[in-house]
Amino acid sequence: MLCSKIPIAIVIILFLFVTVVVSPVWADQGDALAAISSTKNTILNCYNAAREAEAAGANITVLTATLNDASSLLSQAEFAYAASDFDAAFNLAGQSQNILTNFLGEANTLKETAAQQQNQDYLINVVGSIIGAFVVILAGFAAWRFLKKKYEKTEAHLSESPRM
Amino acid sequence: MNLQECKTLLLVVTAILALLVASPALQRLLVYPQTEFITEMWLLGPEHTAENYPYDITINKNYKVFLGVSNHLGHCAYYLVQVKFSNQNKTAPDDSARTPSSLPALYNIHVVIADKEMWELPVNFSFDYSYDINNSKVNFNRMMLNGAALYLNGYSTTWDSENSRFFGNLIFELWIYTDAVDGFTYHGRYTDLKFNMTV
Repeated sequence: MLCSKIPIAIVIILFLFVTVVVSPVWADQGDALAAISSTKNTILNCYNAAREAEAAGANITVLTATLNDASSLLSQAEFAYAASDFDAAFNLAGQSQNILTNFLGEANTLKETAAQQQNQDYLINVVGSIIGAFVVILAGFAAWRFLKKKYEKTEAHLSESPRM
Repeated sequence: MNLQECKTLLLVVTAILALLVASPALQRLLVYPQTEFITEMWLLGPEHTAENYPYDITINKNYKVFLGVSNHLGHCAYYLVQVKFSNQNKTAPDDSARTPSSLPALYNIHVVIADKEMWELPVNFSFDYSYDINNSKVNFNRMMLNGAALYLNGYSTTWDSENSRFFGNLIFELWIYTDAVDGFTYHGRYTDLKFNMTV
């Protein structure tokens, strides 16, 4: 009696394992298409954020590497969809989105840091050097005034002194 | 040294010093602007050089090339490389009209490249095809591209007596994301490999 129940129990346990622990994602064509479309939008938003960070002067090599990891998964998802493997397409599109979870935050941080760096560079390189150049010109003018005064004083002294 | 000589010396020294101190600011104003905004695209052979490209193809033999794209557009760009396969009956991209091939893309490669950076992809491929001896025709079954099976059912090529080959043409077209159209447009660049499918 007990022996006959063991196979049934094993089947039930296996079923529970597959449905609860492994939990495969079964997706239809519509789900896969929606996931791919959503991933495309996410990648596009991230691309725009990376472009803004680059325009602010940030080094976006790390950002593009992350974007390309996600893009590669999107390519695979599109290919799986074209091959009517909708489960794979849905899963790959989801993986692609997961990679980009923190992307916008990272891009904004890089953008702000780069903007601050640019302001600092501008102050030092442009404003600082222009002020420095004016200081040099003023110092030259002051030196000229000093030398001229000294020369005139010497001339006057020489003209006042009795001639032999 | 008289006053005039002293004045000249002081002017020269002041001018040189002022220019030196102002050089970081001048550098920004006098930098020659970038005038050529381009994207480069290339294919390299298996030894990562521009030689020994695969030409004579054997059934199910693996071949390797390197596909590269370099961005000089002045900003980060989002590209799409469309992989297409053509035979002499199908249209290839038009260089003069800068139009893409009318063939459907077998595979799309999405890639984002920062300004002044390049991207390279090793491309491993093989062809599975059969020879129809009665009609002297090669019928393609599928192509393996970096592990993905691209089905080429319906593609066939007849004997090209002029060039003594069964012609096959693997095309990589470059498309770029454009804000204005909110989508990808053909970037006018492609690179391809021409094959002789040996039987």
